[in-house]
Amino acid sequence: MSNSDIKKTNFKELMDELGQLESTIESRELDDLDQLMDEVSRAEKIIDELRSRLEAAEKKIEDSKSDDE
Amino acid sequence: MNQQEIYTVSQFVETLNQVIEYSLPFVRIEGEVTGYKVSRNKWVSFRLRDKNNTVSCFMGVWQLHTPIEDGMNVVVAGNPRLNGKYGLFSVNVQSVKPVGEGALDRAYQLLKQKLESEGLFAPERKQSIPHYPQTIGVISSSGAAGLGDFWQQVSQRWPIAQMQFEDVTVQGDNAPGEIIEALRRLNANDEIDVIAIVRGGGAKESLFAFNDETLVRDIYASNHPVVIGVGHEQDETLAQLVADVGAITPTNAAELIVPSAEVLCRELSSTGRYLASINQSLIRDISTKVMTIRRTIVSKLRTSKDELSGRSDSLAASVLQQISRLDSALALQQAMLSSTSPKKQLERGFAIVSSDEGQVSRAKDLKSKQSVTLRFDDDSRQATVQ
Repeated sequence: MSNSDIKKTNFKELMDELGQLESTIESRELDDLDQLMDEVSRAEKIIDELRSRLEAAEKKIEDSKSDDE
Repeated sequence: MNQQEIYTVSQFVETLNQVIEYSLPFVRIEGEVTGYKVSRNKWVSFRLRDKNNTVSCFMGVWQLHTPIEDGMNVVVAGNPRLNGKYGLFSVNVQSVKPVGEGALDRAYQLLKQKLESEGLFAPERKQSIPHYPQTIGVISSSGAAGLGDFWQQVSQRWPIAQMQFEDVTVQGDNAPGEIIEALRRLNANDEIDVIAIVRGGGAKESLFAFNDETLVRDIYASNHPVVIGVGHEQDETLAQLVADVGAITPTNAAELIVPSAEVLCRELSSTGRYLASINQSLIRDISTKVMTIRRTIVSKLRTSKDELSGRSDSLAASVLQQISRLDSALALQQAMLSSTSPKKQLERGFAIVSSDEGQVSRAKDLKSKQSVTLRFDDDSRQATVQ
């Protein structure tokens, strides 16, 4: 999956990919540092995207609570 | 010769010069220099004298390869002539050579001071010798003592070296010129890495060729670095001072020009082992650091994932809670709405009266015999007002 696809993928699929990356990074052979760095970079991007989405959703919930009150 | 014949002055001078040229075309004369003078930086004149006589000498500055001064004993070589214009008998000097230890030393010192003041011996202008020379230009005499030592040392220490040999005279009057020519030939060859001029030791006079001013200047101007290995340890020549490396002997020259392949191999082997050990240690260090970094990354990933998962769950709970709250509010509003519904009133027995003009809410709006519609909860009926 390319970086541009991150925004199109749903939350659950990204969480699943993050879990897979965690396992891959943990077991990656150290002689392939370039691959390892690519995986770490990909994981960071997914985390940033998920955090951004959660923040947006949390804000919406807060806003709707305020409207109700 | 006819003793009765009368010569003109010119005929006499010409005849005398012919006689001199026939009987003494070239002479070497030893004597003490007096009245030494340089005119217009072009012409040198002095007189040679002994206890009883004096001879005038003339030469060009370019022919004087050794500095001289009054009081110095020299041997001049040249052509004796009677100069008709001035009526002066003189020697047209081609070369001057100091003789005797004192004169040689003095000539040496004079030239050394001159060249030193021009900066020819300055360490900063010396060229460095390549670490691993491939082609060495060697200037020496095939019969020179010391050449064998030089060959042997180079061959033993650095067998891959190629040598281009220039066989020249290394002592005597012709030596400077031959060495200069050889030096120029080697300088024209771009494949030469370094030039060695070597010969064994000898008497001070025999090494004097290596104090020739033109040779010293050519060594100074050489494109390739020049190493001089002339004489014994105690012999110092100007060629040695001006050379890029002045070795004390031919053997020493070889040692300074080429590395020892044997020593180099030992050093390389030792360096190789050292580098291998450093390398292994380095790889271990890097591996350890990478593993530590990876553990840190995985730990941070896990923390971030847990945080995201927690926030996601919390968000889902909030959404459910919000939905539940909205459900309750909706139910309450539905209840309030149904309690005020007209249908509820009809169920309780009330009826809605309407005429052709619309719903009737007051009795006075009805006329006698007017037809109205009564709407009950279950159905409607027509009625007439009495």
